[in-house]
Amino acid sequence: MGMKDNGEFIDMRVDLAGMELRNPVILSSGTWGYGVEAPDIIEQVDSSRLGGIALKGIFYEPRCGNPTPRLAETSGGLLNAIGLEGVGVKAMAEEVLPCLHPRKTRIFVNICGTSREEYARITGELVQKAWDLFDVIEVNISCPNLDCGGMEFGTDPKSAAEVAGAVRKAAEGKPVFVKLAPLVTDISSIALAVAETGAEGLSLVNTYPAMLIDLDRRKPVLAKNFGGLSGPAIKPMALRAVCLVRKALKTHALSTAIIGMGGISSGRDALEFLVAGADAISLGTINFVNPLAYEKILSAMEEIMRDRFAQTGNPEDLRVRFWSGTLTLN
Amino acid sequence: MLNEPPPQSPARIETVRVTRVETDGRFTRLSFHAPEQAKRALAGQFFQVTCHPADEIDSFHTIPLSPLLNRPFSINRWIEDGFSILFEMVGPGTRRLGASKQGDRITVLGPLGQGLAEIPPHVQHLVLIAGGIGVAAFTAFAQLAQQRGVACSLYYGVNRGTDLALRNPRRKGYQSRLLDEFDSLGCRCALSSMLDGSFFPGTVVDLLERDRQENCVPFGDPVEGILMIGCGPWAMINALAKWAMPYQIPCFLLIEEMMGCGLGICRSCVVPGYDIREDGTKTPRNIAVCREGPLIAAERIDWEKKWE
Ligand SMILES: Cc1cc2nc3c(=O)[nH]c(=O)nc-3n(C[C@H](O)[C@H](O)[C@H](O)COP(=O)(O)OP(=O)(O)OC[C@H]3O[C@@H](n4cnc5c(N)ncnc54)[C@H](O)[C@@H]3O)c2cc1C
Ligand SMILES: Cc1cc2nc3c(=O)[nH]c(=O)nc-3n(C[C@H](O)[C@H](O)[C@H](O)COP(=O)(O)O)c2cc1C
Ligand code: FES
Repeated sequence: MGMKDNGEFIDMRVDLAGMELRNPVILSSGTWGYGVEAPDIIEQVDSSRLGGIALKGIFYEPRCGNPTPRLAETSGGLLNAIGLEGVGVKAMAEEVLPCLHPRKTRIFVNICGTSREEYARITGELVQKAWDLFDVIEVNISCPNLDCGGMEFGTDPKSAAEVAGAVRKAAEGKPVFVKLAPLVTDISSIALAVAETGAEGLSLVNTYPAMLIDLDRRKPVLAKNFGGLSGPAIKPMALRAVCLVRKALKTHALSTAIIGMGGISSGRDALEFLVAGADAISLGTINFVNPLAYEKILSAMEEIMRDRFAQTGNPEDLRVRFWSGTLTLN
Repeated sequence: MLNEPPPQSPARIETVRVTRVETDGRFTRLSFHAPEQAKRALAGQFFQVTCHPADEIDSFHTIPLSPLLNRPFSINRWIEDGFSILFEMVGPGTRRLGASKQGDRITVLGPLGQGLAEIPPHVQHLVLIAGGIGVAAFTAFAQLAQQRGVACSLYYGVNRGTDLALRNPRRKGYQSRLLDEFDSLGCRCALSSMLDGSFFPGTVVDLLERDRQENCVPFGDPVEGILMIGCGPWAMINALAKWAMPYQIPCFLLIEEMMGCGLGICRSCVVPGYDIREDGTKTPRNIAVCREGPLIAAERIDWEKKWE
């Protein structure tokens, strides 16, 4: 609960698939590493002001990722093709997660695989070795930067549901969130297929497949030719995805949780995602502009909520969970 | 990721004031009132600098969208109440920064990466080798050498005579404010120009080789007591590393890679390299330039893989 204001408390707590989060602000996978890389900056992170952190994605084995350049900037965004350089499940369970403990925030472990079995195997190992050390398994079936695995599972409802089902079975009750690819024919049908497996939540969205060209060299800027676009440039598209999926879930009487993300860089952006139907929001690219952006965005959200309350006098405006899904479509 | 050395000095995000702008239309130097940051910074470390004045960010934290990312710049030199950065205006970010005015408030994150904490005791001569704007990082090294009473030389290679940074054609001496500064720090300067006859005709590595052959200072026979630090385009630092190897001159490089976060988080700035144990065995792994560099021993880089 937050600051006292005109005799009213501002309440940033949200319920995400039955878990209470201190506030709806999460840090996105791949944009805050394993939460251990920059100890001097982490020291400045007040984890009691953070709803959660999604760790950089892992495969079963460690990986060294793609060749460079892996990152390039474009108007209002960036393209990345990191290629999931990561430590693998063993180091995740034995080194990273114990390092993050004790913690005051929710930990999402983000996983990726080249087969349904790999996804299940990573999950099984995490559950077995590190049950107490994390809160959510986030299943990345939407990474655009891999030669095999990742997005191939996220573009078809049937294979998305198969992966989700396999992970759910291996997760033994740990909440499972499935992270969807946005550039698909019909994101709602994939979301529904995943939700029907009983997955607790959806992370919407991953990056949009894209490219940049170096005109002088007539070559792609990124070493892997294509990458994933993130940042403010994708915000309107990501908002639409959240809105469509929430609508579809409602129609099917499903209350699957949604974490909204894609280009959020201000308090306004964050609240727009909630209104569109997200239960929590996640910050990605903006962390590169300012690794402590979450603080400013959270404060800005609170300021907007107070302003709104001052106008309406409605105490629900001071409780962020009541902002979720309040959009009325024309 | 998990086996990187701890940060040499704690990084902070702070907004600092521009106290002085110097420019020749192509290269710009900004000086910041930043006593705390300057005290923490080491030669070779860098700052992630926001390209827009801080006052353009409103209370809803709506940020200017282009250029979005911060830009990395080496600390150029220490000044009385802070530090300077020196850059070439090559694209939108550096042009925007180059338009800064005295009094603007700019947000900087740093100091970041690994720099030179101390000149090792056996070193009698610090030799700095710059290609183009790579020279930007070196005034701080010359300041350190002067403080420690260690001799210092700068080898500075450009394409043409007009490519010297912070030129002032009306000035006597080097016709470059930057080089006059090296001079007054007691740092000997040797220049090469590849494409015109302004200075030694050839690359900066050709110039090093000539000086070695002629046993010019700093090269005695045998070559010893030298620490070389190079900064410039990849082809140049590669040539330098190759040149230094047979003479067994310790050679460090200041490496530049495209950066996202500057904190070791995004893994965009990696170069293929090795961990080298005391017995000489090498274990290959990606080195994040922003965390383990920019200052990296030349032998830690896997040059073959880098050029693949
Ligand atoms: C650790 C480090 C220290 C640096 N110190 C200095 C310095 O002291 N002075 C200076 O002038 N420049 C320095 N650079 C390079 C500087 O960061 C880039 O020139 C700058 O980011 C370009 O931004 P821009 O928007 O003007 O141009 P852009 O349009 O973004 O880029 C112009 C050109 O610069 C290249 N470039 C972009 N970002 C980088 C980068 N991070 N590293 C290398 N090349 C890049 C691009 O590939 C392109 O060819 C440093 C880079 C690093 C990694
Ligand atoms: C450099 C980088 C690395 C990323 N790595 C991952 C990852 O490992 N797993 C994952 O599910 N998403 C990854 N993402 C996607 C983000 O988590 C997020 O979904 C996306 O960037 C959209 O949000 P944004 O616009 O706020 O950045 C990565 C994004 C970036 C920019
Ligand atoms: S710039 Fe992000 S890891 Fe180096």
